[in-house]
Amino acid sequence: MNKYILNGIKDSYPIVLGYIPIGLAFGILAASTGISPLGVLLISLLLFAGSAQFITVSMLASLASGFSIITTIFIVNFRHFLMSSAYSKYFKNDRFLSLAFLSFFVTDESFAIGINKAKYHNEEFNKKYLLGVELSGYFTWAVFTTIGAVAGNFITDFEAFGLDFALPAMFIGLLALLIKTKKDLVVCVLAGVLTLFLNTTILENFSVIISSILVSLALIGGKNDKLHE
Amino acid sequence: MINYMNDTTFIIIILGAMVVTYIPRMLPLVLLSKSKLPKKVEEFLDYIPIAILGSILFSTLIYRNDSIDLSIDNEYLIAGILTVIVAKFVKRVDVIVIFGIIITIVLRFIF
Repeated sequence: MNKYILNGIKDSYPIVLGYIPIGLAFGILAASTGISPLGVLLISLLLFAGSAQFITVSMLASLASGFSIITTIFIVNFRHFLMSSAYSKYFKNDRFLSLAFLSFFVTDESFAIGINKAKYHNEEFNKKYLLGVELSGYFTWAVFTTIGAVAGNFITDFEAFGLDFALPAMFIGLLALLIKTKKDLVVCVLAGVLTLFLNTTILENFSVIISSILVSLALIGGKNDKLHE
Repeated sequence: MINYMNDTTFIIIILGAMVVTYIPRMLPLVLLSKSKLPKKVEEFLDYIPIAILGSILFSTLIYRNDSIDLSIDNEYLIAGILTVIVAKFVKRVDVIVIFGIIITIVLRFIF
């Protein structure tokens, strides 16, 4: 296999670990609302979006209208717009079709790994690397959400393994690599605090995107000192 | 595929959700990768990864069960703080992820 794809797959192991418990949980929840394993697989293959899938299923179960489900999913997933924008400068020489394909699989988790590589190990980053990261998450998600739907009743206390903390820990590890200056640290903390506040308001579904845009806008320009270790 | 709705309706809703998810994923990458952006926009986009990941992390660790939970009973918050301390000294994602998983198991064992 191509060495970039292989490296992408290797680097994606926290995603694989983290998607297992969340995928199972999603499959179990979906099955309990009356969606068949095939329906679960279809949702995972077509949407491939963690929180949006949970919302879709709970809205389906509460018999929300198709229009309101689709509108909500649009809002919740709109943050990918920012990730896709942040990726753009690293793909100047790639063709339309490969970018259109690659972007189908953008998630918070693959973005966290991909953007780190692009920024600080750019010589190891290209579309094949990102594809490796993305597809390994995609297959893990499809497989484990379906298993959850099929075998949900046999899987009980999977929280005991602590795997559900793999993704938060991965975000911490990747943020620690990304944050190089005092300003970076301020961006992280301000955006985090603003998101928490927005979560308690009617803007909850927009919290990540609003706080990311506002904080990034507010900090354009000005000095940027290295963080002392 | 779903027992309280006909399958066609179900598939149409999922396809609709797919389209509105895919467009924001795809358009910026496809369009912006071919354009020269002003310096200010580039600087803005440079902050976006940290801002988004910080937002998601704070939300995951602190916003639990639909409210802000800063109590000692919030195991995600405690595990998160301990993991951040380790991440300050160890700049390796693999070590940090393993530490995070183990500390979560330990916390659940204790509490």
